Amino acid sequence: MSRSHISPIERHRRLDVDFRTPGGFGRLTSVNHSIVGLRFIYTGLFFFLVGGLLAMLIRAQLATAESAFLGHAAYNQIFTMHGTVMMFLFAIPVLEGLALYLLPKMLGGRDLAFPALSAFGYWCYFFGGMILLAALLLGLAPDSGWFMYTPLSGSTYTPGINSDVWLIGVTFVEVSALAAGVEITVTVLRIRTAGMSLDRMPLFAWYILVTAMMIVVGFPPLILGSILLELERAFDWPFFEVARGGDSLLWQHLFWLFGHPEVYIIFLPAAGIVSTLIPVFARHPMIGYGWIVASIVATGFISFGLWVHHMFTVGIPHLALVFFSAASMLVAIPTGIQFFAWIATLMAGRPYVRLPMLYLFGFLVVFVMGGLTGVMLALVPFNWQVHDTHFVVAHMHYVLVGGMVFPLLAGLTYWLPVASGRMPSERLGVVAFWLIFIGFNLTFFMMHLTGLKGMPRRVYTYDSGLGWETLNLLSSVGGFIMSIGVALVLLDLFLHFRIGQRAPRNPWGAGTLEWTLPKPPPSYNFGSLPRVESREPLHDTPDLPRALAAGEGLLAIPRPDGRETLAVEVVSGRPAHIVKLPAPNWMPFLGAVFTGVFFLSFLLKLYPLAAVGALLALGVFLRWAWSHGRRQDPEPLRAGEGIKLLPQAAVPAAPGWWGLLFTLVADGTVLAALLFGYLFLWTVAPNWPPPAFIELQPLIPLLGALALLVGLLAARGALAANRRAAAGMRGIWLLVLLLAGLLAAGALLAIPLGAPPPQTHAYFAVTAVLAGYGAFHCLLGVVMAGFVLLRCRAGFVSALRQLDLRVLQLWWDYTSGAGLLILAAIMLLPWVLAP
Amino acid sequence: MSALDPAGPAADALAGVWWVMLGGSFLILGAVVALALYAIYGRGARRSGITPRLLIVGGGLVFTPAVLAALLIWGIGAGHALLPLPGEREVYRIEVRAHQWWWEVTYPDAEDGPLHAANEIHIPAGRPVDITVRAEDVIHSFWVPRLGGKIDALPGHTNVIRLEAPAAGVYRGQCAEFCGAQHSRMALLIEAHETEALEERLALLSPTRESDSAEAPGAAAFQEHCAVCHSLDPRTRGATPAPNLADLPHRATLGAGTLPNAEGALLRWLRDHQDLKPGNRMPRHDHLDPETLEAIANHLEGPR
Amino acid sequence: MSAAAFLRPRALLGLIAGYLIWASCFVSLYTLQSVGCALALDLPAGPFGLNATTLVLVIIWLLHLAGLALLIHRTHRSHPENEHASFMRRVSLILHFSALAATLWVGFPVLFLPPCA
Repeated sequence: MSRSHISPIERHRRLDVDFRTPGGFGRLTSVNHSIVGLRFIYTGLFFFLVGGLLAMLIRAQLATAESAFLGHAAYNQIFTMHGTVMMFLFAIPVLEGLALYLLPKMLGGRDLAFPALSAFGYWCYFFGGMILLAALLLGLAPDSGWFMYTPLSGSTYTPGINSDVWLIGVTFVEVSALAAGVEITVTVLRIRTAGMSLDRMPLFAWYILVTAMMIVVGFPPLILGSILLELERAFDWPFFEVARGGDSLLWQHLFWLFGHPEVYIIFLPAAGIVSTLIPVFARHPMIGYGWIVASIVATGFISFGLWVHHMFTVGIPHLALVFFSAASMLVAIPTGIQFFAWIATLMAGRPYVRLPMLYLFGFLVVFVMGGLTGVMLALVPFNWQVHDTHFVVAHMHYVLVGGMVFPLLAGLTYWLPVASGRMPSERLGVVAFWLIFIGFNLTFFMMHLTGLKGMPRRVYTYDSGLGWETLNLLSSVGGFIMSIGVALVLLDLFLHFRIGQRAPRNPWGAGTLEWTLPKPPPSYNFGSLPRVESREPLHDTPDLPRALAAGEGLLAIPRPDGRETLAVEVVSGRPAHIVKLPAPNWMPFLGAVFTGVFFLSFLLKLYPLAAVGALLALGVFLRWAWSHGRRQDPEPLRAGEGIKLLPQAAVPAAPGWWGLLFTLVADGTVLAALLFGYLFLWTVAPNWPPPAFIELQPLIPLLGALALLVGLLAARGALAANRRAAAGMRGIWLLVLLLAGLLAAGALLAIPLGAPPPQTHAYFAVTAVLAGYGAFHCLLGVVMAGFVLLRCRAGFVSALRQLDLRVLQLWWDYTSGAGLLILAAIMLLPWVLAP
Repeated sequence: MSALDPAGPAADALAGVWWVMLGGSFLILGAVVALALYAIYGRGARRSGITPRLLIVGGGLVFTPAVLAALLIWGIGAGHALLPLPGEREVYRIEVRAHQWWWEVTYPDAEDGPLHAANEIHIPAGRPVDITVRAEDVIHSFWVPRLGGKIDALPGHTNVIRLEAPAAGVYRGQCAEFCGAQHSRMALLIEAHETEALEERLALLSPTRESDSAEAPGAAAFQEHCAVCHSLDPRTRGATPAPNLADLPHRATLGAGTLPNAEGALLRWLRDHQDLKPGNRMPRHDHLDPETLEAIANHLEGPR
Repeated sequence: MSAAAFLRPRALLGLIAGYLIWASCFVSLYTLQSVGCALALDLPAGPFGLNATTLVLVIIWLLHLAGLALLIHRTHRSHPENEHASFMRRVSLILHFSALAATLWVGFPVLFLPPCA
């Protein structure tokens, strides 16, 4: 290892060899965050066009009364897919892509915490999107609305494959969102450059951090709902069917428990774009940084207390509606604070107006209107009137287009020079902006009135003479004006990459780290990592780009096969250890292909093949996990500035441990949603109590509980033995863990097997899912224990290198806790609540 | 069908709050846009005395919460006032069962037992009406905008909504929750009558009609082809409920608002209903010859 | 709360502690209201003519408010050691105060609305 100075060219050559993605088929192996992020953005924009095309078909159909353009069958697929595509395949993935692309560049890292995970996520998104797109082209697309209310989406009223396509395709895509959620959370918390404490982080990273946490907690309820509905459709387990103890309202709760936070999951990153651009174009640091951080966190929480405002008309007691009405209004306050902080910053600075600012102006007008109608809708009695009318269609588009598309266009124009090295065109861009702005308002402002005049949503045709014709025609005209604007944006983008003017290094005069990079950025981002002293390091040190390329930062001397970046302490940003990033590899692609085999076989009801797909995917993941770590205890490595840091293999709280922690948060939310469903059915569903309660010998649950406790102790025992370097004891504990896990899984599975079949009543079905959830975790824990045992044999684990055991322990802490909770719910609830 | 042309206390209150909120919204929007433009283009913006603290604290922590608190408290009161709570005034009762894609209407308190009808509800003017709503298949939503808000019709649950029509007249409603293929063609009419007119109208829901003699050419055909689902007797719901046809000649529309019940409309409906309202639950009648259809139509229409 | 507490990873938990209490209050109010109505506890059974469900809801609400007040008190008393810690303390205080206001805001209707109508 050379301590001597190396030239910038030499540094570039050595780093690029390590980080570069190979060509040809090797592109499929890419894990580089710039490439994966751009793939998310391109694919998302493609789906935006698909969704936009569907919107045009909708507007063409509704332009006139009693239109003969589309029939009800086509229309219902089209409007369902418009919502599904825009929400799941455009909005979330594009913002994820933007975050994945930008975060390391803004935080001063060479890549994300788990580059291979986000690559895997991309392929899940890609394949899931293709399933939905294929269904659309084959005319088999879902047609029960993007909200998929049961019983309409159930097998009685939608016997075809349409609903299954939605449930399976969307769940596949959500795997990708969850992957990104965990990825981003750990990246923002740990993978930053030296000195970037939480209070110096770009606001964009705060927004994305809260968004990612919201994904981790917000998506699981819908994933659970989708699994339950698919179980009902495929195997006749009655979770939502009233006659057998289910309740269609359970679906609505699970859907909106996801669906409302989803709106903020889309809005917050966009607001993050606004908070990034405003100080740049105001030429003044952001005012009220702390207030904004608090507002973001508050928004993240409160947005989980709004979901019932989508259900104000289902007949819930007024007091409960008032809780949600109050929370729905409450969420306007942090949003308002951000608006006032933006205006204050503009007032304090010397603003100048370029194309991105124009889009921000569009955002301001449109989103404020969406927010105001949102407050109106939060008002219970007014909601009773306009719910499920075109008024809500108008509101929702004002919020989503205003709160996401306009900021996104601002952000794309702003950051284009980072990716392309060219400046966006002002002329074409301005025309496109005004077309979109005018077209949008013409389309959707009218819909407020159409809705108030009594036009419900989701109708494929309407009678003339009800006063809706003119408004609808104007909406359609506006829609086509808006799409011309979008087409101009595309033309602009195309021309941009061909003939755009070369951009200077820091064209807008920004202060954040992504503008220190050469354009387009190299595969490794930073030649050396900066030490950051403030929120706007580039303003402190305008010379930073040269200094970093010249190796005046940290990790300036690339070690062979190094691919290193820094991990920092969460709050202070002090360098904590060195993270070794993965090389391009086939795991993400193959893992997603086999996961796809699982989902697609399930969709086609080829269940044995689905099992094969799942096992192959598991095999790929285990093989991937095996490739990590090292067989010797590492020495601390020189990081520059006289600092020596350990590599992650020797660190207890390595990113992998954090990743599992947040995965378990998502997992725990699934369980919480399941327990909520259990309690909900018990107290609200009409056909309860069930014909019989499960009566068990106390032996089986006691045995299960005992096995879970032993598992908990054994995982901890193995870790403790390892710390004492007692390899023999460690092996014994791991064997105990294996057996205890198998026993616990068996005991849990024995409960539904000894009960009447799940098809007979929702009670038995929910019990079976609860027990299955516990048993699944135990079995996965057994596989992990066996895996770690082999890793110990192979010499990957030592008193210093204990990550494998720490991960195993965390898993079993969760599994034991969850298993005991499940046993308690199954055994005690009948005892408490049964009459 | 417009909520902005309200009739009755519930809809009046809702339209009133709409106009107030609309005005307030335009004021706020105007103020925010003006403030932003002033911040960007205003020459004296930095000397204007509008400090960041004033904006964030005054705007974010005082103004917004104050407006919202007022709205919330008003909303709680207004919402509470619309609930179907027991009160002093006598309430007229109606039961509605929503089907794909029509409304089954029951008058539970009719003399001599409940009367069943479809797609039209006749109520007394100037009296509160409690409508009990449920669904027989998927979720629907009961909504008559000029009279008030909506309430969902759910399988397995019953919900009640209180409406009041101040004067005699016809009020159109429509299913508001997406319910499948013909969600668009699921209208209903509420007709409010003065007391005597209501009695006369309900008297038309009568099991016996002049044309019901067995000799009527359509009667046998009706029995053979239609009576499995449809009933002409308002006292029976039928095994697989389809719209009760007792007062069919007197209804304003056919097919839950699909076409006006004008001269010849019924025959057209019987012939082409799957083109007029594709996917509806009534099978095609292609196997019946035109004469039979005409006889059935005549039988159903009776002497007009 | 000791000074260094603001620099540990757990400080993140401290940042959101107020809103965790808010969330707990919100979920408890909604759940207990549903269960109370399902078990038909809305008949007047408690003191002051209050029905049992309302009484439970008010108690739950007050407990959460007390918890928030305690949290604010403890955060307020702490002395941050450096700029990072002082930032965390400031944002925590804003968040805890707003969580207190939010808990007051969503909970006060239990005082005067019938629970199950």
